[in-house]
Amino acid sequence: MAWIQLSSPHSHNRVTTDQVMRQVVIATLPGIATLTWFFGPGILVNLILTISSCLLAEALVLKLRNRPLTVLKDNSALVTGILIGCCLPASTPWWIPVLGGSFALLVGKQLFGGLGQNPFNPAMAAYAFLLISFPVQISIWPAPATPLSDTSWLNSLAGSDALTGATALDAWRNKGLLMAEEFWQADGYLSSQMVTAWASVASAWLVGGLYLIWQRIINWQLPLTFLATLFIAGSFVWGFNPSHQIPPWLHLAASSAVFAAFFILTDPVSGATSLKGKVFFAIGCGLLVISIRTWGSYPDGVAFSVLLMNFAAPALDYYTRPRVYGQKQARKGLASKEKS
Amino acid sequence: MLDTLRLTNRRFHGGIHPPENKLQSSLEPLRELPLPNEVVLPLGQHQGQLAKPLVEIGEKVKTGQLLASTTVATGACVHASITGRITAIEDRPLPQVSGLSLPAIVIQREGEEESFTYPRYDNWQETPNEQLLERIQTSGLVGLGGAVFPTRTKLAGALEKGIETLIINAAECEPYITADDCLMQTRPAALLEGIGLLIKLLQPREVLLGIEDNKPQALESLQKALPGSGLEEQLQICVLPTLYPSGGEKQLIQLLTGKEVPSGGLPLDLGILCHNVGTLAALADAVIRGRPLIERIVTITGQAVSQPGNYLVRLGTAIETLLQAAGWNQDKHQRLILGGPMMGFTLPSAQVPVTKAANCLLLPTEEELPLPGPEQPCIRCGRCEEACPAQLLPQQLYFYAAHQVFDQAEEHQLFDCIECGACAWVCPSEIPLVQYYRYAKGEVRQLRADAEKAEQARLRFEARQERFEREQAEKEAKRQARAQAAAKLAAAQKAKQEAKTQQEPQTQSEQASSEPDVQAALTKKLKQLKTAKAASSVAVKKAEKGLANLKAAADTTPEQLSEQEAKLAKAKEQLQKAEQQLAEAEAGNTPAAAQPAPEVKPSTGNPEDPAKKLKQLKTAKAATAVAVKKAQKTLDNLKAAADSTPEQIAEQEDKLAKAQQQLQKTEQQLAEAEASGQPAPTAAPGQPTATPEDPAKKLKQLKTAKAATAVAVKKAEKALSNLQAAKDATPEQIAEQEEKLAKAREQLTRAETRLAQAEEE
Repeated sequence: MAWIQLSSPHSHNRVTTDQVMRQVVIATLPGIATLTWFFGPGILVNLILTISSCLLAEALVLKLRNRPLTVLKDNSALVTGILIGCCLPASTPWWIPVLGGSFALLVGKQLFGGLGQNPFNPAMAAYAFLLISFPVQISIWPAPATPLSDTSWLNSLAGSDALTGATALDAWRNKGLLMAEEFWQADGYLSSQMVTAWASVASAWLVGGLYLIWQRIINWQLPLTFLATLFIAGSFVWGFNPSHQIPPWLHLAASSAVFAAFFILTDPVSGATSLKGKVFFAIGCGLLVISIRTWGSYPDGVAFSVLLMNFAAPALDYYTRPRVYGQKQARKGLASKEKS
Repeated sequence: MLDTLRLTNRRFHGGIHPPENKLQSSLEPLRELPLPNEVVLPLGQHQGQLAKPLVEIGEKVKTGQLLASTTVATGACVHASITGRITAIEDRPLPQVSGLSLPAIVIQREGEEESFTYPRYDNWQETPNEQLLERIQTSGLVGLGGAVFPTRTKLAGALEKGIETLIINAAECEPYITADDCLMQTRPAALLEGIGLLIKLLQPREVLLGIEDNKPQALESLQKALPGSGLEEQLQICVLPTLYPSGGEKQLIQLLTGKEVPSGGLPLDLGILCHNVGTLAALADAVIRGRPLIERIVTITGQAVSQPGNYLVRLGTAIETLLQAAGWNQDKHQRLILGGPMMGFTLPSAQVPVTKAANCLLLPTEEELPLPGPEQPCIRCGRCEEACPAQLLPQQLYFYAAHQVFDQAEEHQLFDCIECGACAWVCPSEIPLVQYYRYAKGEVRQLRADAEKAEQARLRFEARQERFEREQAEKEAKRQARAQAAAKLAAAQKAKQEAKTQQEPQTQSEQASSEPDVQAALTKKLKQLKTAKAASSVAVKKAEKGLANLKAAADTTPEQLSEQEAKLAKAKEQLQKAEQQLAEAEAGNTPAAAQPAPEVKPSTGNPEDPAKKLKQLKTAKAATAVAVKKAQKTLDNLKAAADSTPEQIAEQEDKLAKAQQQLQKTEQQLAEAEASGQPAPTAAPGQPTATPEDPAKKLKQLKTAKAATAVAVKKAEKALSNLQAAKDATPEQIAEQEEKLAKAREQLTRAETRLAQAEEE
């Protein structure tokens, strides 16, 4: 009689990659809902376009690489699509999300060998690509309105001008020599609705992020470190010149920070490996974001910061290895040549 | 009771909570398996060398009888687990993944069960440690926790190094397995006895028993047995939160002591010794009850058996027998796992025996433990890292193992992996991580072995090369030396040839003019003188005789008588003269020798008194003998004296040699005189001058001379060797002595040649 021969362990906790990805998808729902609430169904259209372009692009590559299409079931392309879709303005032309989704999957992910092989966060790579290539289309958000009655998203799909409003960071960048007090009082720069809308979206992302922590999909150290770095470094910069620098609360509330903290930085593939590495990764991202927002030419800087830190992740891995059981101290760096 | 509990708040990194699945077996009572009809007892159930069989096929053995023993430290004895007859000693498959076959003893059950009795150490508290260790060795004890390391070896190492902390591992963290749990519930006293024994043996400062909090019955049973066991003071029972792998030796040590076993080291390096509860109970049985290790508790569980539970099984029982006893449902099975679901391994066959290492047989159904799905790409989620109890980076190790970057894998401390399987258990991509690590470890070991081999080969090659070169050089040197020697020889021969043709006359003339020849001439003269003296003494005797005859004759005239008397007086005078001359010659050597011959001539007519001469000779001999003795004595004194110089000694030796020579001469003369006393009268009175040298006499003299020179050579040789041996001898002294020796040798050869010439003549 033939017994099945297998290597230990014979038991498995039955949590699989597609389940992990599904949890991430679930966690994005509050954010998506809030975005839709404030900025209209254009968000959903974007999402549909990014998701389908991601899936199609991945399917195409799998076909080219003679890989089974069942790989699509790991939900990773779905997550990438959602993450890109959540970054794009509701009023963006249709080809932007299609381009973004395709770029993310083709260049950001499959070009490097598919799931687990990509050195950069595909969603951020695509976003940076779009931001550099089409800065106008990427930056103009519709003014938050009573969403369901608003039909401007239809106009935007048609390419016609719609009522738009700058995001808080955009507005701040364009305030010129205005003092902070004047900026807040002046009309035409930043509507209070816009601030409310983004603060609400950030809260929604926070809810989703907490869900991920609760589900043990992500750890709490990384988002906390990132947000804390933003706050502390932002306060420091703001402390020097409160009249002209972004107040620290705005760093956190403005568009992308919370979203990035829970959904972008936590991408395990392109991040650092060890917990210590992840903390350093988050600190690096935070400092870069503040730098770009303060001295850079782009109003936000999360995508570039993440991509830059993706570059640094392998180095972080070598220098942040944990101390192994029975070792006096952690080893660092590469294996020395004479040892091998 | 509660004061013996110590809930530990220490933690090890990571750990997982797999479903325990322990109740299926732990709720069942311990069942004893009926005696099997046949047992197969492998000789290598332990780590280390195979045991050597002591029995033969066909032999009848009793239960507990020693079947195979070992002489080396890393081995364990094997005992008969049933009573019966040995039917085979042959290779049988072991319960291993590889299905490896090793020699085993097969016993067929026969007759009534009879136990082989060993003496019991009832007073083990007073038994010397060596005796206890001996019993542990002969009882075949090995670690029953899974490592099957020979217990005696482990304890001997601990005894040698000394330990601070004794840890008893009752964690049993692996899911499904409840064998230790069952043991603690059924035989807590034996376990405590075993602990007592170890305390007696090792004298630890503290004794900690770690037990997971998922075994309340076992804990209760231990607490009940503790009072009265004598261990209440020493044994600390520590309840650990259930977290796999808290029963791993390193993790348990960390939980109980907060210390970490150094990488690549042993717990003993920290003064810690860990033992499994099963081993301790077996230890108590072996020492206190004289029962060797012939049975153990095996958990049989999984949904593919209808009667899961713990079974007391004789070692060597076929696993298949066990499965049938547990109600194995053939339809549902798919995997036969020896050990637990985390670290156990699948067996290729059920036709293998239960060995000392077998703690659990797990037969899960597919629903219970689903087969792993296809391996998906690693998304570096970091769950493995969070789970790893060794705090490794499993995803990095996986990456390096999969891409065969073994040096990086080693750098990431691949060998600190304990293969607990926690990483693979949590991996959402279902990557068989442990398998990758095993593969990498195997490859690294192979690479190391190859590297070592290559290194040895390199060393061998270099040594060979070196040897070759050396030999070549030696050969070359020899060849050159030979060539040089040949050239030298040729040159020397040529030179000799030339020297012979040129130098021969020269040497002859040298010889003629050399001093020894003068001396030889002198001695010749002396001899002549002696002869003359002898002749004159003969003449004296003749004259005396003639006078006496004349006196006796009646018709002798007074003139004749006076004439004869005058003759006698003249002869006597002659003799005296000759004697004087001789004495002078002997004493002065040279001046006397100048004119002996003409003086001798008159002696022909004047015979001397031979008796007188004899007397004189005897006196002379005695005198020389005295002189020799004296010289000898002074020489001895000189030699004995600490401050005498080598020169003094050599001088004295010279003197002694001379004296001896003198003595020999006088003795010879005396002998000659005595000999010539008779023939002398027959010789014609006028004749002696014509034949002063008798050939025989000459031969004798030559022989004497030769002997004397030989003595001189020997002396010189001796002196030289003394000088050479002396530390303070200067090179000049040695050279001088060598010169002397050379001279003496030359004299000897000359004396020999002369003797030879004389003999020829």
